[in-house]
Amino acid sequence: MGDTGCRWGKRHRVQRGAQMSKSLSAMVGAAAAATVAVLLTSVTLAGQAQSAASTPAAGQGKSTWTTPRTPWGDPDLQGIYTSNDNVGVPIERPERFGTRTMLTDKEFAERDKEAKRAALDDKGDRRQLAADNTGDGPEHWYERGKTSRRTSLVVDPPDGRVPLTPAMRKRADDWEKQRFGKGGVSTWLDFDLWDRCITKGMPTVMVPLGYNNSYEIFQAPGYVAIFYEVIHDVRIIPLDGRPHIDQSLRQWLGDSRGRWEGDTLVVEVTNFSEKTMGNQQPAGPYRGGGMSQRLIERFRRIGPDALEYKVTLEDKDAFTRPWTMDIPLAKDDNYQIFEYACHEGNLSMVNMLEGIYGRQDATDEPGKTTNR
Amino acid sequence: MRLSHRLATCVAAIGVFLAPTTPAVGQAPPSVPRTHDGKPNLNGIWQAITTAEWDLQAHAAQAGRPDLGAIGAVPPGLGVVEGNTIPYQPASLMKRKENFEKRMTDDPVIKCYMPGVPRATYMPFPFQIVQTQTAILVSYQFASAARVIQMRALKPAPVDSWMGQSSGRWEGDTLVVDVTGLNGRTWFDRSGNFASDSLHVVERYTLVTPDAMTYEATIEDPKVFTRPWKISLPLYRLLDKNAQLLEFKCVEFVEELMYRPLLKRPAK
Repeated sequence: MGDTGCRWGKRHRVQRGAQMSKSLSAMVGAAAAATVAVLLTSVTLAGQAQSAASTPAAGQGKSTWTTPRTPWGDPDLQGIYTSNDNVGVPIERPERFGTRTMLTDKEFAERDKEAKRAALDDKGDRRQLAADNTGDGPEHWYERGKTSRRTSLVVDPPDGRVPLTPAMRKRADDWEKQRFGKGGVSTWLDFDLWDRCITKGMPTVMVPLGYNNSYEIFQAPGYVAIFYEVIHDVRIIPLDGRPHIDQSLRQWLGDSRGRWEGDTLVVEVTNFSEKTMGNQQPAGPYRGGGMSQRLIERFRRIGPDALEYKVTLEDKDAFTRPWTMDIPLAKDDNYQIFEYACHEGNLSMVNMLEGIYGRQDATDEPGKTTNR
Repeated sequence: MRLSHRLATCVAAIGVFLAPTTPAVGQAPPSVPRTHDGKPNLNGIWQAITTAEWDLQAHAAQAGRPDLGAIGAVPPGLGVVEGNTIPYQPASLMKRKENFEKRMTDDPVIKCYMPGVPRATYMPFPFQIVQTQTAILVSYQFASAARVIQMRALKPAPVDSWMGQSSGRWEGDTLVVDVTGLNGRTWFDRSGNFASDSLHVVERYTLVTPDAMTYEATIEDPKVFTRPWKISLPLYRLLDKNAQLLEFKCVEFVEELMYRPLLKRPAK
């Protein structure tokens, strides 16, 4: 739904969702409007002139730059990174682009123009606020970096589409209808894991969505740690070759094991829970895999200010084949990470549930409310 | 002569006895591990073994929620407060008593809210330190709380927060962390000890053996206390094979408690 009151922005530290109307229809309408805004933005906006992957040490000509090392000899990935340069690049490639990975100059100019317009505090934003339409707040609140030429974050399969199984595709479509005020929300369990302030999810946390798209990497001998601004989630990845935890033990963020392949950090993530399956914040049609999900992440410094991040997802129950997202990260050590106290300020959940429960036909059976 | 010789022997003996637990101020024993930049190496998973989470002050065992029987009861403890007195101002002492009466419902951690500093340190949950020269990440198991200790002076926090803003420095071999910008919405323990948004905590982490450190926190809050006071307790390294911080994302466990009443109907 993308509008809980827990998301604190770097430049706008207010609990936006708290403004939301208690009226369910207004609430769902607002959410729908906000979602439409985000979707439109996705199709027509932002990112960087070239994929960071294609331009090592961008702008520095023939660079003599090499991957820095920690004092104990590991490649040094440390720093604060954001994925803001890919805000607005759709996760899944719109079909009209086929297998084309980059926009034409003309398409790029349009996307860039639209991104600059969206960043303005303009009359459209004022109208949106004045209407019964608080939602996520005005468009110019969203964080964005340079405009990207990329047509999708998914780079494999070649058509840039997420290879969901038919059942998962239906589930994604059903949830999308629910988001647009067509019913189906009756308890907290019907909201996604980000709305519930549990997690933005793996690997969705790396996908730039609106705000707080920052990640700080720390290293110590034998470990790489990643501190995600959203939900103050932390992953501490052991590099010592130890086995995964017992398969009976399942976690929201799975279980990570890392190793170095040359200068690339390769992390295998397993032990996901059935509770993440289809319940995560949407990244395009992807809403989280489950018990069978396995991720292979690759992190590689490709310049003084750029980190390549690619993640391949497998899950025989959710996808018809493995698929890969490429999410270039830009180093920004001046970015200040704030505490993302989501659950502590989740007034939106209270307001939304009160709106639902106030109805005569309310039920506490998950997914059964006829809220229309 | 003879007397002074005996005295000197005595002093030396005391020194030897105390060395493992109370090193000279700011200096760890040579046996402690060090990082590449020569600082005591605090990397690892740590946990307090104390009942400070139930009550910072000395307390006998007592009953908890009756329906939980022995597993809900409060374990006894000698207390971690220096001198065992928390110097409340009179009005604050009343508030503390009121908190105690309502402890089964009003303790903020019941709702899986972040526990703040110093409470996160001595809850019965581990935390992991990832130490670098410029910043130290502290990742707590409870509620996935986390904070980054910046190893430099900081401007006042732009906004108050649950875990505060942490600025660290080394004083000899002791990591000293100045914690400000706390929002005053946390409690120190399950018995209702509390502070306000004027809380200022100075923590001191000193490695005394490779697997143990002393933790001290000086607590200052002019709105609540008449003077600064101090807690002190050891922290122990988890030595379990392949120890790792597992998730304790407790939001999931409190939704029924927090959201069910909005339904205004009893659970089926």
